[in-house]
Amino acid sequence: MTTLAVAALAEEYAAALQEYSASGSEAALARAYRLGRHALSDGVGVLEMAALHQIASARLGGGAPAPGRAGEFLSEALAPFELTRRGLLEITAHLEDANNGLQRRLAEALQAFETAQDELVERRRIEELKNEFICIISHEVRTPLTSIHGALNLLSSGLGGELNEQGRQLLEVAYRNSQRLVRLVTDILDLQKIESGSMTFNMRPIEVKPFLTQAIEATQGFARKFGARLALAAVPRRAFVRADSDRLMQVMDNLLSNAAKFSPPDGPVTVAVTRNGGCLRVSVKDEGPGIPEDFRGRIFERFAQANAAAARAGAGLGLSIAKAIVEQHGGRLGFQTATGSGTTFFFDMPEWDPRRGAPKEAGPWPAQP
Amino acid sequence: MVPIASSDDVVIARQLGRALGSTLGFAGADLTVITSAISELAGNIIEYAERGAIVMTIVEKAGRPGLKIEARDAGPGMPQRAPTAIGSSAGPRLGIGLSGVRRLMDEFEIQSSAGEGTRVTVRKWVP
Repeated sequence: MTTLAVAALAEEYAAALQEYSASGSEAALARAYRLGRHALSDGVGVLEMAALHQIASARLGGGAPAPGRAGEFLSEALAPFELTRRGLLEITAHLEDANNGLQRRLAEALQAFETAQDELVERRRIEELKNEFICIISHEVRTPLTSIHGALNLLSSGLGGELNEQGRQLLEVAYRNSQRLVRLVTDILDLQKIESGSMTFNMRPIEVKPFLTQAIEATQGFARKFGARLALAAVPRRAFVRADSDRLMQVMDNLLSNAAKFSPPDGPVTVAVTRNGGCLRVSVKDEGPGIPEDFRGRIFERFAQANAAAARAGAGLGLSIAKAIVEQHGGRLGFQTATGSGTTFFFDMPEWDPRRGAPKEAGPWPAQP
Repeated sequence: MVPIASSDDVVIARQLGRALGSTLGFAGADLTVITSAISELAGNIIEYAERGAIVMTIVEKAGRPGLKIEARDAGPGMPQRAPTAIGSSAGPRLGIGLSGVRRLMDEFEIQSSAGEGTRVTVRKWVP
């Protein structure tokens, strides 16, 4: 409101007040109401109205109304403000309700979050305890197990004399099972080493084609037992990755063995390599039954087995180890599967440029370990 | 019934409202509330319909007396505005006025449609 407008309002107020002082008429009160109403619309505040009243009373001097009448007039001039005050009270009440509701929901959400966090921490703690326990047991078991395994090996090579047929069979069972145990303990310790970052990788450039040929040759014998045929499809020329060849061989061995195990008799297991931007994808495709849907989510968990039949073949650590190795190389291991039409496991790794001694393309890969 | 066409008529309506109100037993701030409502309703008639009428009736509900004030006009009505949206549209003065009247009084009804005028009915019960 401009100074001029305020002055006009003061003028009008004094005139109306004087009229009411003289007549006590409803017309003067209606005028007071109109005045207040305009003041409200123009954004004049209640305190300013009170000030206007003071100024007007002072200006009227002896013509000022008696206190009772002055009060009636001021009430009338302030009445319009009640129109909005009650609205504000309503709004405040609404806001308070809404605010309370929000506070309650926030508290609930926080509570739920804390519970979830506690559960997560607890689950991690149990997981760590479990791993630690398994590690300790493995360490403790390894030394005597190596002795047992070695002794059984010597016995089956004829040291200690010839055994009869039944003795040889029993020895064979003992030897085979001790071998399984040795492999399990080695796997557990390997996995623990990779995950704790204490496994060292001897990184050098590896040409993919000869490496895969070698991997297939090494697993061919095992695959034949399941009637699977391992084959290498087209591989891009001069494709390199930078890796620890023993560890990468372990990954290939795992993927090929798995594929062979689940391949139908005389079914093909195809290894292929594709270039995709700055990375190479090595895939192993079988024509087996596919991974059961309920198993897909936990396939990389330790000791995960789809069913009892699969458990015969291994402890269920192979894929966990393969995944950890690939990830330590800055790569990614994954799979595609459909019930009835086979499974493809693959890993992506940055392609290496041996001439420059650097990755071919700066990809979204983490730094090389 | 008080015909409304000028600010003098508003004064007459207020006078009648004040007299009826104080006869019924309203006093102090409640009388001011009644005259405020009459000022708003009559002001709207003059502003939006030029002429109309304020009808005041003594009513009773469950043995409790009250004053019913009805504001009628044959103006353009309030076509775009739903009665529930009072105070949110159709200009600030009307908005503040009608929503304010609704809050000052105990009961509030409005009937309005394009071309058929407007009728606002409010009631206030003696405390």
